[in-house]
Amino acid sequence: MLTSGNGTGNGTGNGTGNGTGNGTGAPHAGGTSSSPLLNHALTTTHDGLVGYWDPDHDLENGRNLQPPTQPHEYGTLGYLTDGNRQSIALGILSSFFRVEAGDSEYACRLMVQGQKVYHLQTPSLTYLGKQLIWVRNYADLRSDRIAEINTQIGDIKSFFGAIMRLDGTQRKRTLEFLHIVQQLTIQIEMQFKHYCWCPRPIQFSANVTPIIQTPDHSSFPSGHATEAFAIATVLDHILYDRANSETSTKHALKDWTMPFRLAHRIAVNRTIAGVHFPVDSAAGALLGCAIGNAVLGLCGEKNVQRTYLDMSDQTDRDGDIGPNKFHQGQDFTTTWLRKPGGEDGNQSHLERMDREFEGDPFLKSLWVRAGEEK
Amino acid sequence: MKWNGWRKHDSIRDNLYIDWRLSQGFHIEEGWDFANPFVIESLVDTFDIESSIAEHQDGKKLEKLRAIFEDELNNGILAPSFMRNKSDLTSQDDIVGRLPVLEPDTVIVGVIDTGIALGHRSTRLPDGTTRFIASWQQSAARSVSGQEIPGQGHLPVGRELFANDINELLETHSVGGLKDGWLDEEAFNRAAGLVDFSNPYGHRELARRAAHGTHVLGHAAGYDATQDSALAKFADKIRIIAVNLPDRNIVGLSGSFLEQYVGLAVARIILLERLLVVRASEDLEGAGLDSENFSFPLIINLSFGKQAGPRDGEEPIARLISKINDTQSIIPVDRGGVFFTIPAGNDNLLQGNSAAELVAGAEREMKWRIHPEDQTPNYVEIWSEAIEGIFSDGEPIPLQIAIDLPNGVAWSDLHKGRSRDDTQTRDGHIDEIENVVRIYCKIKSLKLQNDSNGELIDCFRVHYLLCVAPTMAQDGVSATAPAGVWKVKLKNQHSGNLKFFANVQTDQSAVPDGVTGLRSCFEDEDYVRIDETTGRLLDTYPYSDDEEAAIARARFGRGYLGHDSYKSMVKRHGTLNALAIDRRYSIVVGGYRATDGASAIYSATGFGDRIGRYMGAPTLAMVTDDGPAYPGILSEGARDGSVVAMRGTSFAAPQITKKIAELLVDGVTDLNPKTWINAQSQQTYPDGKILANERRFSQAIDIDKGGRGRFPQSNYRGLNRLGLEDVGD
Repeated sequence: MLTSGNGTGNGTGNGTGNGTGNGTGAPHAGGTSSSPLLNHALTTTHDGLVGYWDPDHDLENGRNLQPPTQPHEYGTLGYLTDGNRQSIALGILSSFFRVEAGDSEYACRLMVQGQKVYHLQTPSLTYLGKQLIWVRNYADLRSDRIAEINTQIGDIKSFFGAIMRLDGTQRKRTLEFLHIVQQLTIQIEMQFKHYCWCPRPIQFSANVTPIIQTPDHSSFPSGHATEAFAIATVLDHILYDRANSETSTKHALKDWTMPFRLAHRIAVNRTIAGVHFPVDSAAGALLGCAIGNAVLGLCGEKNVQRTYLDMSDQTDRDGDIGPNKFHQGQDFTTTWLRKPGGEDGNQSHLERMDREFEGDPFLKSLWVRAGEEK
Repeated sequence: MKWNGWRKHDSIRDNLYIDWRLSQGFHIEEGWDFANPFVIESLVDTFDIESSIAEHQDGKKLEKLRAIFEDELNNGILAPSFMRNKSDLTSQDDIVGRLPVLEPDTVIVGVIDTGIALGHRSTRLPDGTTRFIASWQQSAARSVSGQEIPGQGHLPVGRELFANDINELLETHSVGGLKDGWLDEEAFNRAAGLVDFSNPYGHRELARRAAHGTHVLGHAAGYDATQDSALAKFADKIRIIAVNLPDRNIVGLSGSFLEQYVGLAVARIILLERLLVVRASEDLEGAGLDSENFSFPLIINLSFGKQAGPRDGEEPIARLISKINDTQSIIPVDRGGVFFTIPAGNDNLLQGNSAAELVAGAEREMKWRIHPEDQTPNYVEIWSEAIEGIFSDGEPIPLQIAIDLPNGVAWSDLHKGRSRDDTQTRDGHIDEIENVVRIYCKIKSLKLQNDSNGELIDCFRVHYLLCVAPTMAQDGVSATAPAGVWKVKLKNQHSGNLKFFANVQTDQSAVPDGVTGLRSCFEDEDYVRIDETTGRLLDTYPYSDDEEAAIARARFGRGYLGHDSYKSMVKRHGTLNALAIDRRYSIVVGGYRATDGASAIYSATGFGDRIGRYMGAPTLAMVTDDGPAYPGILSEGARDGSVVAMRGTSFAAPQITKKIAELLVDGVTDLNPKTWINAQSQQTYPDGKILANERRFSQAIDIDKGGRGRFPQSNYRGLNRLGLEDVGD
């Protein structure tokens, strides 16, 4: 979570101040927003100062009040707290995304401005059963990864903060942008999980004994993988200054840039913990790339890409199997992400959209302001 | 629950541990083959001196070694199916063309370990190509996606990569080129068969933060020539042959299957050295060298050990090392030779070592504590000292045994005749409470050299192996043994005094960092574990100016036992690695603390004197702790560029491996580096201290912990955690 509101305030008296920002009040003159004591004090202050007054005498003061001059310009939202600003941004952003439950061809798909950016099938129980071997074998790394696994239950952004500067002052807008992307991703992934419901590893075998609590939602696709890869896609764009260039996510994956290395590790940690199958991560990783690309497109970037995951061939094959394919005996490897068509490296899970997205002015301004933080 | 009484065990297997596990219905997975088990003895016999001399004279040095990898013998290696060779074993001659051509002045470092990384910069040349000559991953899967990996028909298990193979993989998985690019180690490690998540018993150590073999290799042969051009010479001249041993579940949690893998690994490295000479013969002849009599100097680092064994040179791996040393002591070569570096061991304070001397007719009781909720079996080996003569079938066993279980079930046969079969033969007897405990009894015949006239004398030793089932079974069905103190009674039925030695065998958990493989230990009320005033664990000897200790030292001389007591059967003396036998070409390395020179408390102690062919002390000591807060010493982590601290004498041995390799490159030492070590240790300085490095410390280190003395720390990658002044040697 972003820190919202200014916690410590000034001077004496109002130590804790406003915790969550939106809702009950923004920071005020004294640094605190609202408290029963302050409200009570203001009541007696009002009584002491005002006495009886006639509103008609004050109408002149309101004649020149104006709404924000450019409602589609993110900068105009400067009058709002972080939380309220993000609510608006998230609302606008998510209005472009529609998750649709599917039919025999796909279980679920993601539509943006009338174009399909991602779709997948639901793996069968047999398929998932074949994946259980990876959960068992990755468990050997638990004692080594426990610190990462614990922290990443509720915080993955701090790990991205380890590969580029992501503080709340100099990278405030970038951080805010990533926060909005992550919140959007959660909305989308939860719908995917709902439409593609699959059991968790623990439901196959008591021997899995995950080292963290198994969440209530579907195992497939992995939310951590989706969020980590969505963030990685956006962050890669910022970190390597890819604005409107041909060097897209497809190339970033092939080059295996740092944000994607980290996203992969975050996803694999969930298999080590015992709460995800590798196929969950594969589906989430590509969904995350698709969401990240769509966000970039809506922010006015060109050459963005879409993808899908094909699990129609439910065999045990591994290795050189071609893009967008994931077989039941397969592990979620760096090679699969980077070089799905084999070692020549010319193939990719991602492909160009049929037509560019129409950028939204508000999102564009959000993106530009983040991009200015160099 | 009752004892069955002694009975003959006619079909006993050479390896008693495997015999016991099979009797327990051992099965790890389908595909393990016990029908035709690998015979380590055949491998050891390969190094028979007489035939080696004959082969040498015929210009066919170690011809049999070539055959060992072409023999069906190796089809009998005990291994899970995924790593076994599916095709016919093919000729080793096919390998020669795949080996690199080495310069005549190359020195080879062999490292046999687990989790040796192959892509680190410190094992590459400045142009990004590898310094590995070859690396055999013994438990790498033989097929990928159902396709058998080609070109591996020369090995019974796993997969061997040669320099060219490694370079190709490095190229494929480097982003931005071999020389300066970034290596995707996730992908490289999988492609090289170093990390395997597809098999339950696949190797995964390199997916963790720290890997034992990578840390060892960093000390033994790591040179980052890209960072420091001064290291380029050593990087170029010192090349590496690695063998990655299988996962602990395949080797056995008590090392039951260790000998077959290590035996073959040692043989493999020595054979590759032979084949490298063949490969380089044209160049050697061109340089005016006799390729028939040429050897590349070879130092094999064995940073592991076993806690229990005969400790007389008869343990198969120790015998293999001895025989290799025998061969080269008789057949000198113009240049080179094979040297072994071995850690002293880390079991000094684990109370797994017990010994006593019994007068005729005397009896003593050892307390062996087995912990509750222990999910792995526990073993103790007991050996009598060598008794002169030939044991005849039917005569009473000179050292007799009886065991009382913690739950009160007693075995009262000690003073009586045998209940079912009164005689015991060298073929082996067992007594057991079925599925709970079994005692093996074997007589081991051997010949010892008379110190005065050099004659060989017939001797025998009594050998007991106590095998106890886990005290907890996960399946809830398998039989379990009671936890608590097991009383092991030993009685001397010999006419004279008789010593015996007892050791708890190695015991690991099935999963890394697991807590299920609790290690049993001996207890003795006269064993003093801690200093009651400070609460600190007591090392073998006090390390202080303590007057009392000085008086005791002066009074007892070599008989001074420090914190070990004559009364206590549990001792620190005698914990030295059971593989540390041969004194000629093996260098056994203990550990010490960099700050004050104190011996590392865990570093094992010798007996001080030779017992049979057993080494009485480590050869020397190297730094094993140099951190002010976090113990251990620094070397490479599992991933390239990472540095981790790891602790133990496993990391002492490879430091001297590197030192010797460098001396050989510089032409400083002669055929046997032990000569150099001895010369260094005998160097006396004006203040009377031996070794320049010894001058730094106020106290001496006792011989049976530090051998010839404390050698200076190699300043690995400039990481000097304490900022200590570097005193040259």
